[in-house]
Amino acid sequence: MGNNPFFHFLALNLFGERRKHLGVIGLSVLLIFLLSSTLFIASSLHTSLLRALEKEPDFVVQRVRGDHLLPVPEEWVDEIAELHGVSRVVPRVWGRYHTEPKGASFLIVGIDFLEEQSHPELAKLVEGIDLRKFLTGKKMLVGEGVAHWMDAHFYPKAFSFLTPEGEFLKVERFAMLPAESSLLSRDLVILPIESARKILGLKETESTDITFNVPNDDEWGNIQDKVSAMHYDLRIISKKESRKAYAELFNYKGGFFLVLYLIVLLAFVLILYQRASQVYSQEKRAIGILRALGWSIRDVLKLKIYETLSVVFASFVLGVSLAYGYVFVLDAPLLRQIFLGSGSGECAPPLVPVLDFSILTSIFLLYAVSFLAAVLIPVWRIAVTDPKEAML
Amino acid sequence: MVRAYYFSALFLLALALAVVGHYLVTDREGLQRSIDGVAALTGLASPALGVAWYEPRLRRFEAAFNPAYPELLPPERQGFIYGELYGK
Repeated sequence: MGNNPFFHFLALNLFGERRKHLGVIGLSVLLIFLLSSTLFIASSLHTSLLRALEKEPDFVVQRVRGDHLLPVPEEWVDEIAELHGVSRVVPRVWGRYHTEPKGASFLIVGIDFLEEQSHPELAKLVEGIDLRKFLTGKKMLVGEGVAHWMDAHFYPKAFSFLTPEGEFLKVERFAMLPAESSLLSRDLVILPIESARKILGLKETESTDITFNVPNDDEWGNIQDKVSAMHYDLRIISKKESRKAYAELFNYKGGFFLVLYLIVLLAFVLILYQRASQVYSQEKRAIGILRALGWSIRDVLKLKIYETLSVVFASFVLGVSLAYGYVFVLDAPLLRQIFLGSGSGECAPPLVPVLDFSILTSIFLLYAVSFLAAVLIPVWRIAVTDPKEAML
Repeated sequence: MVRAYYFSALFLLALALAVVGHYLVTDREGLQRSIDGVAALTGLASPALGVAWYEPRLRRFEAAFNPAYPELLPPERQGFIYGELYGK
């Protein structure tokens, strides 16, 4: 390859017209960078959330009237537990706590630490936690965002929650949840279930909703029907519905991103075609000279294909590498707020690196094919004309 | 010029290898385990979006309401991007 005259001529052509090629590479890198960054963020969040969804219970039962959630009575737990095929029926206590009418809001989740399942999960999550110390007194675990808010508002050690009864409940800050989990836990406050009930205004015999598992997948429909028939104001949500909704959540094919991508692609092809047409006269003379020297149409097209493919590969590798670094090394400042909201500015959840090769291949093929077409069609038109006319 | 071509190709190859290297070296499972741990403990796998006070935090489990017009459908700021996400 080093002594190949064709390769030498190709390299001369590429670096001889470096201004033109650098302009095209710059534009292509920008487009590929933006598109790849968006898709990297979407696929990372999609993968992480789908995996986390597997840890959720199979069914959630709520009490709804007029689309408003009402507390679920404790008797419903026993009614559901009596059904065959149902396991791990657990009442859940959660709700949003607003610090002021339109201020920061925390997601309060009450955990029954007497339940066997919660201990190992807690120990795994917060390494080195002294569970006995945590369970004595009113203590809470807070997410990174809550910890930052508390530090900024001079609540370094404890926070007094205002209950619906008008009383203050002071809870000590015990530990912060791992920063790596801030995708879910940024605004999370984990409390013992009794404290959570007081803060959210629930009685001892009430909970926000009830969850249960059905180990046999074939029984899901049957159990769902039986539970739905128990009460008129009961709503049941299954994990299958949630999984389907999550699959659509960050699906770039779903409308918005596809429309944007098509518009961007069309604009890119138009710009390239216009750019290729601008160098029409110089290109025409150069190709005419090559044809006059004895180059066949095939040789001319081969030269242009290799030249274009070099630019395509360079742009693609640069664009994707920059996008990867921007998303997974720098945690996508600015762009992540499109997906995670403006409140994620201070505490950026680290994004799990996900390389979806099907997406990368699609980007490459769409970009390469449109670029090749925009460049090769004018070149072919010139190559098939008479060399004497081409050199005029 | 050929040397410049080789250097450019080597630079791009190094860039690609750096990306692959970072991907292989990063503790992806450890990151995901933290997220899974929170979901397993709380039973809630909804992302902590920067939502406004009138938007649901747990999109499948709570309905947002506008205190001024409680019977109106909630304005879904993220709905246009993400599509519907109700477990109904």
